[in-house]
Amino acid sequence: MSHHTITFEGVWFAYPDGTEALRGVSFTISHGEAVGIIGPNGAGKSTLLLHINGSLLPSRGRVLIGGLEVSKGTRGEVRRRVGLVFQDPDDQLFMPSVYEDVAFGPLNMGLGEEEVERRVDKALRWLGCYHLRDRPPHRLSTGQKRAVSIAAVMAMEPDILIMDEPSSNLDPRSRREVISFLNGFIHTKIIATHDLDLVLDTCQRVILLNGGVVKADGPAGEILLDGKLLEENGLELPLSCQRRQWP
Amino acid sequence: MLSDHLHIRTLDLISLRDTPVHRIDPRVKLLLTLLFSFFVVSFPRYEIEGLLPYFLYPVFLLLLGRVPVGFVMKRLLVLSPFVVLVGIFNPLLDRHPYEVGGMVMAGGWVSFASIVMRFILTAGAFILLSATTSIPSLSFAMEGIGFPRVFSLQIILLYRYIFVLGEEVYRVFRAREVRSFGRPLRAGDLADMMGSIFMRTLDRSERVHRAMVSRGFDGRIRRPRAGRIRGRDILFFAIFLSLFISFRFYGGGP
Ligand SMILES: Nc1ncnc2c1ncn2[C@@H]1O[C@H](COP(=O)(O)OP(=O)(O)OP(=O)(O)O)[C@@H](O)[C@H]1O
Ligand SMILES: [Mg+2]
Repeated sequence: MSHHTITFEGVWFAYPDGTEALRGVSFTISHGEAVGIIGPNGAGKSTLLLHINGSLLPSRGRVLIGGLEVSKGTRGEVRRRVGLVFQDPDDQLFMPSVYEDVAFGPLNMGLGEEEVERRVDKALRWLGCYHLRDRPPHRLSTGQKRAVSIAAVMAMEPDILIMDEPSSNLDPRSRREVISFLNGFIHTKIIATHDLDLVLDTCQRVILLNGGVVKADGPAGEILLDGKLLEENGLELPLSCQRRQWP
Repeated sequence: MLSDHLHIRTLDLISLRDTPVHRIDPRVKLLLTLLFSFFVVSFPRYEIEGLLPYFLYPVFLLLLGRVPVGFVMKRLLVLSPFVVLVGIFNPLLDRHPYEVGGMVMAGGWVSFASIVMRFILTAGAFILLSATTSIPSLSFAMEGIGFPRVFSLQIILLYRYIFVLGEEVYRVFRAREVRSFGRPLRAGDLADMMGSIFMRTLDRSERVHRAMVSRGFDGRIRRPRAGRIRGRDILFFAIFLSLFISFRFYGGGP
């Protein structure tokens, strides 16, 4: 089986305080698919993403990555395949300089120094932040932080890329850059977001989540244009598809 | 903001400059500064003249590291009450006449002056060290010369998140301010705010930890390109160490 498939089999998850964030989620994502996870606030999107790399483990059901069941014992292996970019780059960047931060993952993978250097340079150039390499992360703009946090994950050369709200707090230009980056990544990718236009631009498939349940799963072109379905689930048509009424 | 209050931004700005002194390996600088203090402290209590040559080291750091004199002075002043407290009774207790540079003074005054000089030298050297080395590299240097790993991890995370938490504290205060309509801050409000800050900090640390583990963190921070001490680091170290030694054994004092 390909390294790049993701399977959720009846996944339930409750947080320690009893909140049931996922209630029987099932789907399969195959190699090379680009999937947008959409849903209103509190739908369970972030919780779902955290299951893909074993940051959270299901209370019931299973998650399989390339045929390997995610568990305490396998999550080390799973994290080499799955790169997760967090919503707030401040949660992710903690090293004294951009370069060291991007090298953090590859070094933890036990790669040799030359290979680490090659990957860090490549990732930084890819995200257009090579010139920031010696800067401390706390002195970067939000857009720059986002780019660096993506580079930090890309340097690990994951088979599967997962992003939580990649366009939040970004200005239009930085947002464009993230979109063109996403379209350049050919492996499996999963993006959780409220930015339906971004999904329209980057994903072929959409999974609509609400109250911890999959409400719809299908081609992006269908789900994102189904005004009734979106409205029932607390969402609106993508801006680019709304008819504007000028007074 | 909190981080401004702690003057971390100023230190951060100065310590991130690029000068010959900033470029010296932090471990070498840290070790040399420790040795420097050891030499300075090792002189007998009435020593004055023997200490003078040692000013070379802090002056070197100051000039080549382009550290503003005011920056060092301010910090020395903040620390000075402790020294005065330690040395102030010497002149009262020790009235034996003592000769320095042809003048005869009460021994207590001489030893007091000597304490002040040692303070300026050692505290000055450490202030300059922190001004010419970024906090994270300094903490990695501590690990490099044998301090336990948890310390460096703590310092790195503290340094990184003090900016982030500073913003969060600021946000909580501002959120209260816009809703308080000029009502003075009461103890109850403050307790609520502290609670909110605490919860945010807890959430933040959970997310940071999760992000670190997602990139394979296993309790140890590995660094790229660390560890290579270059020729000029060794030269810097050797020159100053031999100076410290010769000042100690040939330049007066028993
Ligand atoms: N650490 C936690 N402890 C307890 N409950 C939580 C925790 N994190 C999230 N939840 C709850 O789990 C549910 C799903 O949250 P989740 O963050 O996955 O939603 P989301 O779809 O990502 O929402 P958003 O669009 O706001 O990011 C919500 O009801 C939320 O309140
Ligand atoms: Mg979320």
